[in-house]
Amino acid sequence: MSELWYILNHWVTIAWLFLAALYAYYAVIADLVVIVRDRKREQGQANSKT
Amino acid sequence: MEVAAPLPSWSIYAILVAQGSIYALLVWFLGRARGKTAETFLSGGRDIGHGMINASVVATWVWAATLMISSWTGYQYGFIGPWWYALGATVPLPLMAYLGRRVRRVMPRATSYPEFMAHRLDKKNHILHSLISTVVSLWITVMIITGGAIMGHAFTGAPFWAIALLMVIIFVSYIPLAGLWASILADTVMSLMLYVCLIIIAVAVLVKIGPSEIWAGLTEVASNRPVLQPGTGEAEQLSQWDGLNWLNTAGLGFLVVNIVGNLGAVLCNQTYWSRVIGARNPETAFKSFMTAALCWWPIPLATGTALGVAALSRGLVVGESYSNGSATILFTEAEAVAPVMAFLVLGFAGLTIFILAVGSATISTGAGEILAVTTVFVNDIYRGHINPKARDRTLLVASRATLYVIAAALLAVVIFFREIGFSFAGMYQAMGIAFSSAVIPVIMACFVKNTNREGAFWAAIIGSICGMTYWLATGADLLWGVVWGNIIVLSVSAVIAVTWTIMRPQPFDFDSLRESEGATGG
Repeated sequence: MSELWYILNHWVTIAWLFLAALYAYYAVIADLVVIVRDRKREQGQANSKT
Repeated sequence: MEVAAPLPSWSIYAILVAQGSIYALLVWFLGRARGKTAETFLSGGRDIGHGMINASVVATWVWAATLMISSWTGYQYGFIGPWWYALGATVPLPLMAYLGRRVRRVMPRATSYPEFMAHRLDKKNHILHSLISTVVSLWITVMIITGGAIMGHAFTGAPFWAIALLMVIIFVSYIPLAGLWASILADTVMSLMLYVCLIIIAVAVLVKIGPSEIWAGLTEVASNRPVLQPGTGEAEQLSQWDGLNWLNTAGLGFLVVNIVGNLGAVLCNQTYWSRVIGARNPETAFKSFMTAALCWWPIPLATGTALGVAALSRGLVVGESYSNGSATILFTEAEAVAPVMAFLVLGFAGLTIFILAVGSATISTGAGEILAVTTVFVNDIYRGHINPKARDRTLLVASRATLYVIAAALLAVVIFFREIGFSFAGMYQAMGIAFSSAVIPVIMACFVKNTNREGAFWAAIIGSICGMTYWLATGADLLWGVVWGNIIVLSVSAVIAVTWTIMRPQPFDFDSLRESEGATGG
């Protein structure tokens, strides 16, 4: 294996880790947005009933 | 030479207690309503979104072994080791995506995978898979608590039993509050924290050592052929000197063990089926397992490359002491290469970050596995066979009581295994031989409408017996004996299940499962 291939291999591992972390954070935040929106809607419905 | 543990013993207690407190508080404030009925306790409410399921699968599938053994593969097999490790362990996740979506579609009210087997096959298959799922989860929990406590003891000096006890206390501190939802919420936090820890370590190795220097070091090891693991066999030395080879043959053997072993650890494990059950719908379960495969892969890959391959390139020798500034660390065994390298690169901060990552991985997986055993016991054994008319309140009390009993029993087993010197590495590599014979029957039960019930049952049993017999005949060899043992287990079970089904097909209508619920239908 040449030096260039090894350097590429090393960078790929780190870039992939970084992208995976970005996606995991994005997906969790998207979930949180939905949870907060649903809670607000439920609260709104409860308030309108009272 | 006696070298003191580099970190004070209170540091591991602080890391674990802080994590346990955070999870317990988060679950108390956000999700305790989910612990009010047995249905939401065991199924999580069946409305959890993609982000949390994705993060939970990643966190649950990252064990202490993921970080420790992937780095060991980098140290043992060179640059290709972490690729083999990551590939082998990623394969079950996309498979689980298809199986999970299928089960959620055909049997939307299922709470566990043995329950699906009860309705799809019969009672004896239900009992067999309840047993397999329980043993898989218990075995994995023993492995991860042992691994985490060994590492904590080695680097902080805290007693093994005290760390194991603290871990078990943390498991039962937040899971009883909200069951599956609590487990998935804590997993989500741990997963996000884990990425931060690992990125810090990977970037530190990149900046402080750099890929060019690592490549030069590997070239030097290949040409000078130093003995890095005194007392080990020739095969281990040869594979280390072959660290720049794309087709390191010993590493390929590890790939086979990893694929087969991990198929059983995921597909026959209620922990991962619980994430399927808790997902909002079948598509959410499918998407989450698919993205989790892509998000999980770089964790062992980057960790193993940054720590394991870098350690090989530096020629670290097992049994030697290494210094960072005025502090010294002892490289006790090859499997401990990751924390040693983290310490050499980032000092105490690196070691602390690594222990934090392993602690998170251990807690998330351990808590999920204990809950899985509880689910199978309460849903399949207690409700299925002991008390089929149990009311929801009774099931909820039984769930919490089972959690505490299993946690106490596991602690006793972990301490007993440690006392008799049972091998952690051996436990990991032998895993496939014990469990993976049930993989083909599970896949066939999900997708093949003619699956023969007797064939599925005997395939799981005979496959395991054949593999274990071969492996024990090789003297429980952990190099090629375990590789062929894994291949035999999977092949024998496949031949039996497929042949029996072709010769005596038993047609089944999957639509009949739509309204099925409870484990007494078999």
